[in-house]
Amino acid sequence: MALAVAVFLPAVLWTQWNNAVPGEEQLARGAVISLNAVGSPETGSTGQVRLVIPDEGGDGWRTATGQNRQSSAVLVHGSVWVEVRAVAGVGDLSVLFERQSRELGNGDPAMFTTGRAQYTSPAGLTGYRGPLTGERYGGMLYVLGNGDVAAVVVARAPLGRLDGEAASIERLLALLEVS
Amino acid sequence: MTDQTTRVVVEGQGTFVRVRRPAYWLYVGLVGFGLVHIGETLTGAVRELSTALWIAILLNGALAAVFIWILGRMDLFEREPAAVRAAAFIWGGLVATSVAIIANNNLLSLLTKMYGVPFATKWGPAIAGPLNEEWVKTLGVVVLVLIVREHFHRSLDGLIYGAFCGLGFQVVENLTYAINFAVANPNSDLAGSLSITITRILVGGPWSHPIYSGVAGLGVAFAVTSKRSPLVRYGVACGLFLAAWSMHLLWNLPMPDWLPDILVVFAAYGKGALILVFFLVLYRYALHRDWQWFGDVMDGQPETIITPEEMSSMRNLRTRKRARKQAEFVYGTTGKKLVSRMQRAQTDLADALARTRRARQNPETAMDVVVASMNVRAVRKEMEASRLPGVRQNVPSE
Repeated sequence: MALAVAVFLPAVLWTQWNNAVPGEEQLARGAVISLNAVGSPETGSTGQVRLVIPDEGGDGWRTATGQNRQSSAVLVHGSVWVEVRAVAGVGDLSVLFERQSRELGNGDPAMFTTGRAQYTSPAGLTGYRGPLTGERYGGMLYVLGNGDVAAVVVARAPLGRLDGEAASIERLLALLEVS
Repeated sequence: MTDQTTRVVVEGQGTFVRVRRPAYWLYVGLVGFGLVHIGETLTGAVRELSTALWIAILLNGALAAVFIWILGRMDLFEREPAAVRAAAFIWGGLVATSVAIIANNNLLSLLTKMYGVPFATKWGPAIAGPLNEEWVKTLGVVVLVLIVREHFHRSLDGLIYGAFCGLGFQVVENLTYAINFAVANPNSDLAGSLSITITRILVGGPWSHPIYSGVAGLGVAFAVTSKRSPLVRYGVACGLFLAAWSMHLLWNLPMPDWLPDILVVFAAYGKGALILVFFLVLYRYALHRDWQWFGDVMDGQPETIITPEEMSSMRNLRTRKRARKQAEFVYGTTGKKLVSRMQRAQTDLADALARTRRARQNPETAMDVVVASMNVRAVRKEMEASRLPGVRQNVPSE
């Protein structure tokens, strides 16, 4: 019995402690989040994605601190959950879009793209956009690039709630920079 | 003409299944948990990644084969049972990885929340990896002690079983990395899987988890087999666990920011070399203790069983290899094989004598000792028959 406890001790300890520490932080208007992307060794490519919380309608953005990594960040606004990821060494944005679609389809909860259309962000970044649909969630997948660096933006919300947040997401994309 | 040699199998020697021991059922339950956890990841990956995953499996299989071959020959005086080695491997591959994934993910998330992304990115692997992984892998050796204590005779046994725990962990960890990098690669599964697999095998392969866990396992086996005071035994075990943790920490430590990129690979190999050297020093010490045990067990045996020169030559790999090479001058072209067989027969006899001693039996009447002695004498007879004309050195006497 003691041995079983000992084996699971690290998992239980860190899980409980992690759950006990608050995981969200308010983001002020104008707050900047920088994500660094490092490509695979054979490309040697690096890049950066810069997110700025908009001044207009910028209240209410929070970040899920525990989920953030060097190349990805999770933002929450109302009932919308936005994950932004920086990717380097990208050969073809359409291939990246398809691969992201596959990953979302295998995720939990699973979400599936129902189309793909070319898209230009208000900031002038080009790429693709496609609606996402799942059992209880809906969303939008954006893949926007500059050279061989891209930003993958996945916005998801409970079914029916995304439309109300569409403007917030567009304002966020308007200040998205990829370099 | 080859004299017939006989192989004796003592019941229970090579088995791992011990249904009356609670630790065995704990092992089974935890392996089941690991199977579900890791199986879920791998099953999905097989479906989606196919070729990319199979290539990673092939490459890691080759890595495992090399390590299994090396580890199988590191104990010069005993061959650890395959079933127990497999059990250690399975613990590392399924139980340790499953628990470590949950623990590491949560600790990294906690560090990110408390200290921010830059700190967690830089220091997270050095904090989380050694702390969680070495703990669970070492517990694998402890579980094996509780299940099959009879297979822990000397410290080197723990090094071997610990290394197998580490090897299982390394192989499955490499596969999960291959899956994650395949999925995350923006261009192709194969490119993602292949680049990380090759990097991990070539840069980290020789001095990774088998080494760390081998050191920790050495300490566990010392604690249960040594006749020293409990303070010394458990002190050494704790010390070696800390050593394993430190080696892992050294490997995971971030490179200094001021180091040019071009030197990073050299620095990584430098760290690895330090780790490997430390491990080899410990291994050499453990092997020396084993050789002293061998001399103690074979003490008093007549020269038809083992000559003083043969005793010296059994010390380590280098001396044994030298003895086999020199045998050609004494016994001709078959000399190398004959001496190799003699060395194996003598270690089998030592093992039988030790088993008899532990069971407080009379070695002159114990069956496996009698048969092992017969085998040694049979090889001796063959060697004498092959002796080259005019070569008179090392003629044994009763």
